[in-house]
Amino acid sequence: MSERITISPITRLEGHGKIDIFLDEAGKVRDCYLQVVELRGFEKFCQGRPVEELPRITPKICGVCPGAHHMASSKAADEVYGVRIPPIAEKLRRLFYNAHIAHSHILHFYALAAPDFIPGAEAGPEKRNILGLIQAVGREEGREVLAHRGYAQKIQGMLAGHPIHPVSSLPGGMSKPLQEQERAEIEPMADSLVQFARKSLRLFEDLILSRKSSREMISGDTYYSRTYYMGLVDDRGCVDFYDGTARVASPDGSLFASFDPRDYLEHIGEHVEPWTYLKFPFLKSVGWKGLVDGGDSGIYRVNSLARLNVADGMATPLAQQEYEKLFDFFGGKPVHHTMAYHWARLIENLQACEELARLIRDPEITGEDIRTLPGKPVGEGVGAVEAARGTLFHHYKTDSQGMVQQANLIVATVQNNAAMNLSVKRAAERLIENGSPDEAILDRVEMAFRAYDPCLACATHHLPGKTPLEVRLVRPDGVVRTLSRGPEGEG
Amino acid sequence: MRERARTYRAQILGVGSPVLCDDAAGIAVVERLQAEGLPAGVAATVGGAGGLALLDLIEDCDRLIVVDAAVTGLPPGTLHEFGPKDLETGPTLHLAPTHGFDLAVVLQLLEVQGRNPPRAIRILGIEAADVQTLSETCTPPVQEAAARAAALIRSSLGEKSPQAL
Repeated sequence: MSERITISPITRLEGHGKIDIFLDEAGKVRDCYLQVVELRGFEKFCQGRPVEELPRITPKICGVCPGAHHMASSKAADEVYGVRIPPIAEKLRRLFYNAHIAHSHILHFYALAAPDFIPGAEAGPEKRNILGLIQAVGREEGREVLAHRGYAQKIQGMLAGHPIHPVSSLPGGMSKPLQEQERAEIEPMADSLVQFARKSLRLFEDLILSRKSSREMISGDTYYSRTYYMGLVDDRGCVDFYDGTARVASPDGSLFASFDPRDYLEHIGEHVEPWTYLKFPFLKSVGWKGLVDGGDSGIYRVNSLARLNVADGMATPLAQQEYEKLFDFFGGKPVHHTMAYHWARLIENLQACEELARLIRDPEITGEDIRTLPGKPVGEGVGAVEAARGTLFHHYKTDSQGMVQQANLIVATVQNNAAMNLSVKRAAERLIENGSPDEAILDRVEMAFRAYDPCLACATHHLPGKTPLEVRLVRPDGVVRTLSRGPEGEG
Repeated sequence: MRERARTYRAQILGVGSPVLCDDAAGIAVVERLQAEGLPAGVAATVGGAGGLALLDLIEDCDRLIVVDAAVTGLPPGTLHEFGPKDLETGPTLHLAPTHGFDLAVVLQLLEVQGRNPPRAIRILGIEAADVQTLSETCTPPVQEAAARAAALIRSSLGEKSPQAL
């Protein structure tokens, strides 16, 4: 390899996140906007393809939640063909999908969320990562984290037919049954994941919640927005990642709406702002009132805490106990404290792992009846799942041959767009006092954004929170200080 | 004392999204090497969007060659070669050292797991023209660069490139 070219300068921020913080004369925060770049040409990319290709290809647009796109797309394609999948196929999809949720939540908590608390912002960017965390909690614990992340990933790969690009789910069900040998291999991993999920919650209590400074961040008013919440629930009203009824809770906790996800267009509108390509979904019946929270504003939130806020409880017994603890701690439902998203994520991880352990023991799980062969297409279908980051909708329209004519996706991070803007602004207002924030303060502002586990523009480039983020301070006299919070986190 | 032999003498790891135009440059190189036939003892792997998933994908090997798209402002198709030390400045799209998990972190985590990181690592970046349009095809300069990159890798492994058909 002899063609060697040294590159300079490196301009890698295009296509990534940007936060503009506008200051007033006194150096206080006047306004704050989060901008991201959107991918181009999704509709065109899908048009003219047979709909059965989409469950294989849409997961590839996202390096972070391919499992969620695989499921939402398969469900939409099932509907396009008007097929009901066999019960065993649904069990296999749920097994796969709970492994996906566990993997995503373990990764986010240990690699992205926890380092903000252990060792914390003050430790500096070089320590505020998974290695710094391992240094703080011990190498043995670190190994355990990596092993269990690996188990969840392995289970996904075994079910999906490929370690990173899932292919096995398709219209009408699944393409391959689970072999007994595979089942036997997954069972101890699932049991170990349950124990690890419980241990993670104890770690959260012992090392984060019990520390005064962390507890204040979690329960104080810097990270707080009174919004609506949306998530899918099963027929008992419990959190369900794979399927269910969409439920919306009001800021006061009352049930605001409950609808079939197929009717999402009746409930969700999309506001457009001139300064960003990313749309702002809002509740149509409340209306768009700008970037403000409260009961009069149609801004709603999705993702872990939203799901717990809308549900009557968790679907599994151990997760239910933890759910009760969380709401006891905050004194009831709903919880508007944004940092509680991290706690809720760990509770959901426990549910996902308990579901894995239950499903892998289901006597039917190795059954062969895994696909209903699709007939003639009905021509339209909506598939909704709870992605790790929140509700994900895939909506396809096809011609009579099943060739895609229209495709619409509403992804979780976009639904949290307005709320992320609210949260970042509030954190900036409370934390920046004199126009010259230091590295630790900027990290605290960024924590508001990271709580949502955003996957920007449903893009492929970076894992959540890994997004190079540019923070610009704009003063009234036009002086701009740019703080590139990307590579190395240099200030 | 001599260290034990590794499973592979080399691994080529192509990272990127397969459906984001030139972002797939690394994958195009891996697919080309696979189609032409891999030399003995060499693995070629599609690494997706990189990150911690690389923990599951990096093999027990002597040499690791990571191929990724790069956006630096130089003409599309330009090849960049980096060593692991250059990772500190974030040379390519998927190996960025932000506070998450870049390749350097992944290598340290391999050690935490008690596994052997590759003995030598090179990174080959291919300058991209478009990494934001959904497409399964790279732009012509990147396709051409993927062919050059595959030939470079082959020659660095002491292999001749197959005759053009």
